[in-house]
Amino acid sequence: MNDQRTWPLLLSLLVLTAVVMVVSLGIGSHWISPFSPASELDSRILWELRLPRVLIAFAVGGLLALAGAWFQVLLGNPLAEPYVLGVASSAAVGAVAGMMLFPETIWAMSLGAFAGAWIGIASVLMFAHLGTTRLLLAGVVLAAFWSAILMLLLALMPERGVALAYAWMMGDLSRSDIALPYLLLVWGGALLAGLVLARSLDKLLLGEKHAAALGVDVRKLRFGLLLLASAVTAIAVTAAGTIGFVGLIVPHLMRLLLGSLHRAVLLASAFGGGILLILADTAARTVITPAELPVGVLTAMIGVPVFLWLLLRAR
Amino acid sequence: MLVIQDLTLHRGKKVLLSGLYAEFTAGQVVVVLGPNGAGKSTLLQSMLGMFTPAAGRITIDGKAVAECSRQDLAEKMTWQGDLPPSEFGLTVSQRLHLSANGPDEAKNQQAMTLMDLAKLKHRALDALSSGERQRVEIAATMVRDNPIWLMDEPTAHLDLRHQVDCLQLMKKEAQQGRLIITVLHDLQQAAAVADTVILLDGNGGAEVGVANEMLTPEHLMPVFGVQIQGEGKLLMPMYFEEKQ
Amino acid sequence: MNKLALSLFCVFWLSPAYAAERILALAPHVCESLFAIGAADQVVGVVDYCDFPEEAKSKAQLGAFHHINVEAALALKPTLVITTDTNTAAIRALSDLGVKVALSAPNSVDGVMQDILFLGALTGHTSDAEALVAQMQQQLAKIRAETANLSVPTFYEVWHQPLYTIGSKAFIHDVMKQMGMRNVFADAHMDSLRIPMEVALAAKPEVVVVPTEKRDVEARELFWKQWLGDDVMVLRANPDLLHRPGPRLIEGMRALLLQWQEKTAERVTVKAL
Repeated sequence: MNDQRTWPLLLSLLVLTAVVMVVSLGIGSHWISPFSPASELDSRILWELRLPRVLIAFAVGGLLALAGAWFQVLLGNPLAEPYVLGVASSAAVGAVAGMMLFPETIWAMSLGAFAGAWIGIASVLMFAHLGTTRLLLAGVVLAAFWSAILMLLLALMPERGVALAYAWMMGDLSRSDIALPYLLLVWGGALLAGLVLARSLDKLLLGEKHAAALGVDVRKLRFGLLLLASAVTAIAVTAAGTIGFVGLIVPHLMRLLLGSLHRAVLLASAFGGGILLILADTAARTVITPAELPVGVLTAMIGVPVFLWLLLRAR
Repeated sequence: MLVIQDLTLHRGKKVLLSGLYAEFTAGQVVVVLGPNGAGKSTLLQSMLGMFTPAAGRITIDGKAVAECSRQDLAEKMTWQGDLPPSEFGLTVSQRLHLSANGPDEAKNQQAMTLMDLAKLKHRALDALSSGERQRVEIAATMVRDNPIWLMDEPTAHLDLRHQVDCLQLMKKEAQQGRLIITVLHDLQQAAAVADTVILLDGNGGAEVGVANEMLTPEHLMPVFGVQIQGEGKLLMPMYFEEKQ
Repeated sequence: MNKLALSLFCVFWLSPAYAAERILALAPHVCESLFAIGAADQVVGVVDYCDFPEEAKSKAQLGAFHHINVEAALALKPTLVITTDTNTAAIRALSDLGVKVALSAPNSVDGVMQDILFLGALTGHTSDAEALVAQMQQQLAKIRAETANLSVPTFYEVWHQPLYTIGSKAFIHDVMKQMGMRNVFADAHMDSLRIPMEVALAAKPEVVVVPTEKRDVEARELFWKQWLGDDVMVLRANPDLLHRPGPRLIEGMRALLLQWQEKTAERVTVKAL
């Protein structure tokens, strides 16, 4: 909790990221040493199948964790998270709608996801002033609503519906509709934006009035955060579908380890979210081999108990 | 230092304050008194630029509050108000750091010592009692070295010892040149620290005056609607009808 | 008295009068089978994708097979419903209202033959069914004979994004087995499974079968060759023939086999040159 621990912990997270990446690259249908693949095919599996997947997981996990941390400050509620609030689902609705309306343009899907995330946030924000319980209740009900609309849209496009439904509802990291370099760039940009805003975010932890009294332009900050959180959620969802609870578990764990100041929490979450999703996906593609599980199943299995535990503790 | 001209405050359709004029110089304690819902906290927030007046203007050192940026205002005034939320596990020392204008560790230490917080330094806010958290808020006001302090019920939640500490602190800081504007509910406390009093009647009316002229049963009884006895610094509401 | 009732019931059950059933055919293959054995007149209602033969489309449509419109179904005054899944709310409702329920869900090539005979018995078209099955058996025997010694590792691409294939419980598993293709995921005792790409590669299939539906088959062929080399044979399957456990199954198997044999022959010629 104290400040002397911050840098060693951040450094060990960095090392852990590298270790987890290398190990996950090796693990799969058979072990391939990332440093000396045994054959031409192994080398292609390593660089063309496993590496993109590990990097997508890293970027998406980091983005979800950052979005989670932002939502929590924005709503003054440590249980807030894109999936729990239904924002991930509304982004998915937007993406699928965009894809249906303009099947030829790649950007339609991303813009649709962004609009969907924005609508999802706006609808959940209407309940923000009613306190933790009602906000979460509103989020859950809205999430169910968006999922129903998503199912409706997918039912209207049967030719791609079923498989897409799986991917959108439970996450799919085997490919990304956003090119990997962009995804990593977005990860870096989001982290940077987070660090720039860190001090103001800290002040926002004291509530809007205290933040304003301490010189924060709260309206501008909230608007910026909304824009940022919805963009990041939209991009994560476009890349990998809806994956729940990463945004809840990771910032919470990082606050336990590092205290609540955002410079450390955001930096650690961007890496910690990546690590968690790489681990979850590595498990997803190996535990019931030869079949693989949707990665969202695993994050929910870890995330739901954590969520309930937090809910109990929140009194 | 702080000038209020023709200030009118509305909350919804209710008129909280209408046409208030006042001028406060540095080095005094101004106590805002009035019944619940009369707009005492709102008056402080309008000085902070966090509540937009229906009419009138407030200027600080000649500059209108409405035209200042949040950053400018935050460097002039410190606000102490509601206890901040504690869900996110901020520690006492982090809370003070968020308030401080600069990284002055000595000042933080001094504030913590004065408010009896040294032992709680690394505790999370949600592990403290309300009184302890209130002391953290007062310490947070101290570490922000601004010429004007706006304090909204600083003695709330505090035990008697710390109430006295708090009032002494306000008096001392005012004597050293700060302007302190504070909302209080206790007439004794008001009488103990006030140089000037703003009395809000809850219907738009307000009176500003020197403390010992304002704090008399004749002024206070119509505003609060209770019998008050005593004089000078010993004012007491009458809790029960005295049987004679 | 009881005996009389029982025998009367038996007479009714077995009499040709039974041929006047009003049937709901709740699967494309059921529809095809009934039409193929001459029971078309008895079919009063069908579901989505019951598109063969052409006349089947003129029957009343009841919606998706697992979610039929019960009220529309009852309006047709059915006496018998033939379904692939008896455990749905609609079937229970029909059953409660006195409609007889028959299950038709063959999961192997032999099962298809038995199913057609069963449907023949149900509808009073026993001899038509026997004739059809005899003909199918004959064609199947030929296919079996031509592929008797083969057990070529084969990957069946149910879906490509994400990648899905079949396990040993799938109908297609047996269809492929009957024509000398060994499902590389025979050890997965399930119907279908989502797998990582590298697991498909590790299984080293020599043949990849891609159904010609809802995807760019050319692109899929290129994709598989890129990973498995030019030696991999990518075959296209007509899902309407191969996925339906009905009378056109053998036709579908023959078409796939023909494609396979032609590609093999081409390859031999190329190598000889």
